[in-house]
Amino acid sequence: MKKTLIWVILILLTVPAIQAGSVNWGVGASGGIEFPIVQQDQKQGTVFGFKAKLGLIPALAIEPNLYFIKFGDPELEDLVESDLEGAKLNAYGIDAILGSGFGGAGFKPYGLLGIGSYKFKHDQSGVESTNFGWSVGFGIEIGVTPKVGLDFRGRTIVVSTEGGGSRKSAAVTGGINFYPGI
Amino acid sequence: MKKLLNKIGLFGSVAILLIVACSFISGTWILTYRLVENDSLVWYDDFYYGSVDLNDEENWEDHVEHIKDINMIGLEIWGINNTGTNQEYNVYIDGAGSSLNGSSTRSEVEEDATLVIENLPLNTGGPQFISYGQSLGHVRNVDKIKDLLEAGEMKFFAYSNISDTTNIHIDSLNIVITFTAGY
Repeated sequence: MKKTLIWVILILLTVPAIQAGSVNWGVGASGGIEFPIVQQDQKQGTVFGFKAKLGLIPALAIEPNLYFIKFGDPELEDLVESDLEGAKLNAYGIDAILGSGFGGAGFKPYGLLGIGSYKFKHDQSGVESTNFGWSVGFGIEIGVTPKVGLDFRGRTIVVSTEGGGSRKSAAVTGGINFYPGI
Repeated sequence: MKKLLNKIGLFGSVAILLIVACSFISGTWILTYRLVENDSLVWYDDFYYGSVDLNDEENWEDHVEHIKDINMIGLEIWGINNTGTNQEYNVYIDGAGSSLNGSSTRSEVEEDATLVIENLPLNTGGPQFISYGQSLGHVRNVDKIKDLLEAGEMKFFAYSNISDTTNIHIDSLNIVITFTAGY
């Protein structure tokens, strides 16, 4: 409920500015590979997600986003039958993007720093938890037409866990951004 | 543009440093602890009893000072059921300091220990294997498991509905523990 309220407030604050043409905006979708970092109970998996992109001040944009991660099934050498299934991680967050731009041709490198709510779910055991996390990374957007860009990025996620530990993973993704307002 | 590239270089450096640091700072590990019938797992009148000490296990020993959380416990079981009917096992654990032991009664175990695996099926028809993945669906009281396992030692109790070790018994089992450690 709290998360929904935050999203609604953000949208209400942003829509008038978009309508007035004072805010650059775009939407995007991406997919790629997620690599667990020092997690013996997870294996390399997939990630896909959606985002909006809003340019509030020059050279800085924010990206509200939604990512779905599915880790692969780990191979546990000590077990006779390794049938542990990988977990799912759903993320709802906001990234700050330094650089990039909105539409146009050319190569546009950028850095990103994000925060979010991460829901860990392991269907096989019924274990579920939602925790705060953050991410950092960098990428490059290649403008192929004035309104369309190809987006490639790498990022690392750190999600806090019970007891003061954390789960970490790194992702490499490719996607497409669309800028209708250009 | 140069200024921007410098800033992006900073982001990249932070990301790389973070990846390297995370590899050393914390992680999630899995260890297995084996109990064998008539050795470390003994049938008393009412149940199997075993004593578990993780402190000699390499993975545990390496990280015990920095364990943040016990994530999960599960079992691999090799058993035999020739009773003609499918049976189910319950598994209880208690701390190393508990007064429960092999001389306790089943009702004392049920009252004082913590149920961690409930109704794990051992089907009839000779030798059976229950995988780790199968056992996860029967795990109970995960929060209590975390408290009991923090010291690395526990007492282990298991039994089915019938006390007939001629026709139904556990040959051996692996206790599989997932934990997170951070530095």
